[in-house]
Amino acid sequence: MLGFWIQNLNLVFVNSLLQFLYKHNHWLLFIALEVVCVVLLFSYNSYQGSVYLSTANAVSARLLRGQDKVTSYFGLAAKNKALVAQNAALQERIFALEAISSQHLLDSLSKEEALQRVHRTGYRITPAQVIDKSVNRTDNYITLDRGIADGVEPDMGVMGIDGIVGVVYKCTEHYSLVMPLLNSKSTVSCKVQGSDLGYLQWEGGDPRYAMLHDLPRYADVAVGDTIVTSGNSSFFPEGLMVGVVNELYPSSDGLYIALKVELATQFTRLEHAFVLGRMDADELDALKELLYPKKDKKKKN
Amino acid sequence: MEKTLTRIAWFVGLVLAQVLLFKKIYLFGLATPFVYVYFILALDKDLDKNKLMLLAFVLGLVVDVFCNTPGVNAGASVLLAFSRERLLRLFMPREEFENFEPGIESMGIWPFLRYAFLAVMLHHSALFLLEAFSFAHIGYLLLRILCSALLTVMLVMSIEFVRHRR
Repeated sequence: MLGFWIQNLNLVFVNSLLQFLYKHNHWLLFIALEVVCVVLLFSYNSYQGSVYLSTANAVSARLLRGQDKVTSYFGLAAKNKALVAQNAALQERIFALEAISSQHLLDSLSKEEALQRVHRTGYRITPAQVIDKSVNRTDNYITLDRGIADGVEPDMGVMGIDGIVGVVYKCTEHYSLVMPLLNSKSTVSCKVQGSDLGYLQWEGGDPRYAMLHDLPRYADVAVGDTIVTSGNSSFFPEGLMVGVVNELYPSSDGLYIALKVELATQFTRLEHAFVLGRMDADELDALKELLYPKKDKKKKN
Repeated sequence: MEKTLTRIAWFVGLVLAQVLLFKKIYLFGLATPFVYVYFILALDKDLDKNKLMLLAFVLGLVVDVFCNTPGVNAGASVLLAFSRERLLRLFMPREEFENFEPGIESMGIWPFLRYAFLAVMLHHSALFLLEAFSFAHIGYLLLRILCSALLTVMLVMSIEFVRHRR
């Protein structure tokens, strides 16, 4: 008798559950779709997230490059001017370096040996075109028209004409996605020219400024000082232009100061970029694997 | 058949306009329009809710791929599609029981404007909150939501005017 009742009750329950689900099937679909969205959101923000749901996939990148081909004709004169100025500055540096090297290096080394040494520790530069970018979100990205086929790999540094831009995040065969300074997850080791170390982060809002944190209180720094890369990470060589100090903020515990830095790179106008591939990256990776085996494995996956 | 083709044309057109033009707008450092929501707003009233949500999901996801924000636009669009029926009921012409495509022609300027504003506010709130995923800078965020919504509604109304007042 009791068993019959339970069975009956069960049947009624299952029936009404099915009826409920049938009646409210759009609720189920709604919840399912939103769950998919949240999963996508979180998996993308991790290092392992899919590159195919980004602007670096073949279809979207091709469309964006088509648009860039059309729009890049505007403002050619200004771009030419900037390139000529950069050429002149580089030429000056070549003369200066040649003078130094002829004085010192060539005493003990032949020119070829010296060049080889440069080659071993230097950076290979791949010019690239910015085909898409954003500056109006918390996590911005830049898409470049160079990928694995051109020797670009994740974790390479990227610079523009005026200063550093960011670090390569993900690559497809012919395109790559760069995490610029204007991304809440970007951290770049920087220093005040000639002295103290800190790390640069962006806190959203104005794309012209970022914050340099963890500078010791006694740091010798003033408004107008130049901020450059520290050379502590393998992304960038030492001394690349980052920006200029705009404001000083002492931290609440008084141990550190933070700097508001006016970035040298004008992200809203960025069109050309140079990917910096370290020549001795393999050696460095091997060394890192010896020191931090776990961390390195995670990154490689 | 013709209706399906028109719909596909609107879908493609709005996505292209969004990813090639509107996503780059950043007025006063605040407002970015998301005009593609017009596609969801203007689908016929009696379209099956599940179909509407799936369409909105695909639409949002395509926009997401071009903005490097997988899940953000899709999530906001699905929410809008899910709540559209209720929003529409608020401003529906009283004696209207048959199917219609929401617009200034079928609903009148003011009801459609209010419907569009509420829907866009809902969509943009979800969108910006999902994107920021924190309540830090909440004031700035609210201002961004409001300004972006106003810009989107303005553009949606312009599309409607161009469509119906030749």
